[in-house]
Amino acid sequence: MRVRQNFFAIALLAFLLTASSAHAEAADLTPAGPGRFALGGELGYFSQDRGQDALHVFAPRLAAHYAVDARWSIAFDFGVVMLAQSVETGTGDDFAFGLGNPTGLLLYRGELGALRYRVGLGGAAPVARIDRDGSGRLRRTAYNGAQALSGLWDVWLFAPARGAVLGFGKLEGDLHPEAQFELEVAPALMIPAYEAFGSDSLETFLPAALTLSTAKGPVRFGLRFQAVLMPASEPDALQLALEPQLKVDLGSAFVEARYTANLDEPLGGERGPRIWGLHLAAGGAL
Amino acid sequence: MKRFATIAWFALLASALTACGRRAELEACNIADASCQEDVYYAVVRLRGDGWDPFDGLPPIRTITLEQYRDELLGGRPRTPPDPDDGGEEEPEPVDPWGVALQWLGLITTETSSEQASVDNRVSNVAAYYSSREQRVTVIDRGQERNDLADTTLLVHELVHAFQDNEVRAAPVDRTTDGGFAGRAWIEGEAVLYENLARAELDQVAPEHLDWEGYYERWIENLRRNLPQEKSPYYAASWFVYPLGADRLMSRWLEGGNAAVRALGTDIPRSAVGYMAAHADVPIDDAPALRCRVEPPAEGFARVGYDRFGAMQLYAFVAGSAVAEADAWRAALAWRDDLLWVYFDEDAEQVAVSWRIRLASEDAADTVVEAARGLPMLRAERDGRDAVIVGSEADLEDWPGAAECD
Repeated sequence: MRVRQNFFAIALLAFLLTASSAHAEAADLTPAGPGRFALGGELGYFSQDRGQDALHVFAPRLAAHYAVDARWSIAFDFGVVMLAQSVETGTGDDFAFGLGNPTGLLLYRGELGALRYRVGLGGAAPVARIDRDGSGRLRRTAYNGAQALSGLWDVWLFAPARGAVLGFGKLEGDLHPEAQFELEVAPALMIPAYEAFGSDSLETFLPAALTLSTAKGPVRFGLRFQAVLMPASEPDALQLALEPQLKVDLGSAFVEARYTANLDEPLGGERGPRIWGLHLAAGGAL
Repeated sequence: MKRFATIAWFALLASALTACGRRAELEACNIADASCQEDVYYAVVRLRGDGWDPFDGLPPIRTITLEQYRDELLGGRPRTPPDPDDGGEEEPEPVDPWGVALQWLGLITTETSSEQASVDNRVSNVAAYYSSREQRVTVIDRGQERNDLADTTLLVHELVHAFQDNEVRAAPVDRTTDGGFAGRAWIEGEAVLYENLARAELDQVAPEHLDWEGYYERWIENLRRNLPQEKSPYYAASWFVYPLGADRLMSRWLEGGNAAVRALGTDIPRSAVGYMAAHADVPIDDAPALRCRVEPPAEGFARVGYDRFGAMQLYAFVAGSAVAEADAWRAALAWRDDLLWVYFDEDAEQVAVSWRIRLASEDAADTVVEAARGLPMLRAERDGRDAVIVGSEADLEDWPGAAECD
């Protein structure tokens, strides 16, 4: 139980530190203008209580976005994962910490008639690793949880022993003065590193998402339908997720809450591990 | 209103998608079917409770016949040795000093090489296996009528190994025989644990209500009863990794679920005696580790083997002798350390072996000495609480072996 209390304290501290500046999707932050920064932070959370034992996964992330000029900008995203497990009786309380993979994107923004778009290219450095000398299963559980929090949308952020080459595309437009749509794709080529290099093959992830949102004053409610195609993955090559979002604009800053519901296997459904993700984020332009 | 209708439509679609799922509970099925393999895979994901790794999905699963399995183990060599009466000069087999040492210790039969004994042992006992190198599960078709219940749990067992492949090293303790046993007991123990939890689910029984202590006790008793009759006790002893490992892991799972099992990874017994003592619920007192100065038996000899056999091989050695099986088990529980040296003179094709075992009591050391004296190639003495065993040809009977130890 003490592990659990300590863990909540650490997680709260981590959130306060990142939330003071923060949202996680690096590409979503918008600097106020050329030569300006935007910063954001997010805390992702998942827990599972199975009676004999309980699991808590926290994944705080920090994102930064710098506008080089009116068109070009650089985005950076980095996270860590913390897992705490506790048992009802006996021994088994434990804690795991893992670094995520630092991710960078070069972005270009433009307009297509009434539509706005962003495209980008970048990569993730393979920093996340699993220690295989005893705590391997615990560390892997932590990374599995962190990847699943967002329905595998940005799997490269927490993929152990893997780097990535990333693409990004986003098209947004107004359906109505108070309604907006966003269409996003973020293809990733995952490249094995360390012990996976030579034994595992390259894998492609093709995430795509449609978000419909409506705003009333500073409050925006959205629903995101997300599909991540993993052609090489067995037994299921597609992960679907639905994500209600609530965002409040506070001048040039915002706070946001999102809930990721993984709809089917491999992460949800009847047979999957039924992992969901709760995200609290904040950020703004400096 | 229109935009709210759109959102509601998506919500409806989402709920429809979640509703058209498959059954969560595992059912016995034909493991040759892809849908069955998927069900078993997701059952393992759920039972282990570690989430899903997108880079480590369902591995390929193949089925081979028993003959194909034997051929693969032999790696292209003939299934039976060539008959010298068939004509042609038989190429003399090179001396395998390790095999000779095991034969002198009575741990493998004198008619077979250590490699042949290993192949025979696996062909007789292995029903399926996971290959880390090929990242593939192989099921061995033994020709009987299909048993979906047994096959389904067998596949659970092998898929657990596929999951472990990305979590633990092949030799999680050390590279000695004893460390290998301890590492395998953890790996196999975990596979048996989830295999048994899957079996409980198939039987629709809550695992907490079953007598696991009695189940593993009977399994161990059965192995113990059979071991004195085994041709190759060295390999037969390795089958204890299953019930001894699973006994320890199941007791932890019953207390603290998967969290307790995950945490055990950093706190596993480092030697076979740790598992044996945990099963017998007896404490192990500390004893100083062996440090010896061993000289080669004669000029021309080089050391070709150095190992720690551990309590389980000590048990196999004593139980394979004239000593009563129960005394062998007791002596093995008194194991505290051992070291074994194998020397070989390549030109003279001569082998010499020395094995020193440190025990918790002089009585246990006497039991080991008594077992060794029953074997024709061995000499044995007790030195305090150590048993000192030496094996060599008659012309090297003055070689003291591991006589000088702290």
